[in-house]
Amino acid sequence: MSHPVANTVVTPAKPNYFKRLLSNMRRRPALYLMSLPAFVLIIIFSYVPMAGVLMAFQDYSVEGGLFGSAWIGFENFKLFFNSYYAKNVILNTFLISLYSLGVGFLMPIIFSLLVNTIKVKWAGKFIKTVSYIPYFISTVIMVSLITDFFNVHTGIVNKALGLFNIPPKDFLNEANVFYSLFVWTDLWQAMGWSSIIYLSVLGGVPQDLYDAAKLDGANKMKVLRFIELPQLYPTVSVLLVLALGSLLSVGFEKIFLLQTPLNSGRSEVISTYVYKLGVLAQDYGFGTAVGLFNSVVSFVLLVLANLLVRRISDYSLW
Amino acid sequence: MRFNSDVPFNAVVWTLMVVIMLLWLIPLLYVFSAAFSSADAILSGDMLFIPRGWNIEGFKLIFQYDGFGRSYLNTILYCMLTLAVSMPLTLCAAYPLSRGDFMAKKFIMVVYTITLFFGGGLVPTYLLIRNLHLYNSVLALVLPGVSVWNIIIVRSYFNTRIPKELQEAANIDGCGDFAFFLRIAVPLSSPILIVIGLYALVGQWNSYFGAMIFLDDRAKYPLQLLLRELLLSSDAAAHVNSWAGINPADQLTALMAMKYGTIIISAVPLILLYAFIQKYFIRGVMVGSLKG
Repeated sequence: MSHPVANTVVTPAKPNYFKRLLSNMRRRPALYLMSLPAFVLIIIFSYVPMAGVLMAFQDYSVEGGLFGSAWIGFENFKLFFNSYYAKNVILNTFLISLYSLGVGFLMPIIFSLLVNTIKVKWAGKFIKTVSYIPYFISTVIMVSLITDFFNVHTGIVNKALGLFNIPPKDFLNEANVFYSLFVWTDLWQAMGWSSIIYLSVLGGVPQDLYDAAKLDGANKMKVLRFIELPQLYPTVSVLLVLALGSLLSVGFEKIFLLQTPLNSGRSEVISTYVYKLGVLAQDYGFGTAVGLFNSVVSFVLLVLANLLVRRISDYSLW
Repeated sequence: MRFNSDVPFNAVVWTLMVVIMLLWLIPLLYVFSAAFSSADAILSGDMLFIPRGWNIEGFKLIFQYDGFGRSYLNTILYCMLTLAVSMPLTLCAAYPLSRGDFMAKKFIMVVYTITLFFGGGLVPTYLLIRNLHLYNSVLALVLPGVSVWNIIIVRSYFNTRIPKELQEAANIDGCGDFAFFLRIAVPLSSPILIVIGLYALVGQWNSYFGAMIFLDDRAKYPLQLLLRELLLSSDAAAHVNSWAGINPADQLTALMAMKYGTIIISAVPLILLYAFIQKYFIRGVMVGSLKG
């Protein structure tokens, strides 16, 4: 630790700060001690792996470690971009993410606005409760249910389609329906739960706004459009930025379990690819490089999303 | 007065709601009634939404599955451990950040916020766990789980709920920061704790990924990893010791009987828990959503 008095002589501006910091530490030691455990854990488990991304530029070997492995520049990245899988994997990641965002973000908003208009108390409560339940079903169980329900021979989905004379479809192995299978079953699980936050905002809409609308002769549709929806905007824009930021971290857990050899053309995404090559095949440098590519793209998306939302929110209603 | 202008709107809303309820309830009802039906009725398609051949054979068979009981206990243990580690850590980290006169506040917030935007990714994290000798240890599932989001949420809660004046008055009365934290801040934080606690609990209960890459020992498997084997792998029957000599067709029937019972046993505790704390949870969400 530098001596405060010695510092005073060299640079007159800084010591003031350190002096203040030291006296702050002396006066409020508890605050510093309380911060310590979480701070240390975050340094270890978030920052050390960040330094580990250097492996992306190495022919990493476990024996050599980060300091003893050969540096190979952008070889790993070249290898990835030139590989047969790269285009597919990147495209799948983007398309599934966007599809998922579109459906998974819009539907809960619409759902909460509509449920909120139901004034029969028990019915509203019942609908909300039922819609929350699937959230508590784990990914493993969910995938097991999907494989049952969409089974080409015995699944109830194909039986239901049979009632309308639609021939059975092998949803689980058909590459072309993979995106939809993933996105809409996700919606089944998450729609109710995601709407909780919107419903809680709608529950707090001031009564005088409704009274004023009534005086003006607004019907339910108008109330929804011009009073309730604008009340959701702040929450929506915050959640949208967050959703865009985590856009490319599409649900590894579920996609991995839904993969079959027949649908892999559409179901291989960056995270599953990284797991297979970086962890299972122990190609650490390569896996890190692909993961790093994903992180950098996510980061850029987040920054863009933030700019975009800020711009839109300046120009539009709220 | 526009008398009837809401009628078409209401009709559309109610129709949509009925459709949504059907789509949401049918799978749930199917699972529930399959758990109490005979395997034959499920396989033949006789059973739809009402249990056929009422029995609870499936529930009994589950406990013959090698390691099921243990993995269930493991999951309960891991969940309690997660809560015991992450809740105190989050509170302790969040409180100082809510105090305006804590001088390290800005620096720590910058350090935390960066982690929200950028991370090392899977492979470096995996190697770190191995280098720390946490591979095959429960700690690998618990320690990295300190959530910066949660710290930020609790911090803004403290910001709005615990006025500076109250804390200053306490300080003048000789109540130190830590005593104030324990006696005033922690008790006041229960609404928000229920929200982040439920998220942490559901997350740990339902995840298999961490366990899949960090745990090697079958005896340490949490419920979800065992379920993955039981529900999704083709050689699940090999793990029921007493089935060694039984023919494959009968094994398949027995597995079918087990399947839905397993689903009920593993998902229902969470649903019940939520039913009990729903009131507090919703209140917590409201409090939390008031300020970002």
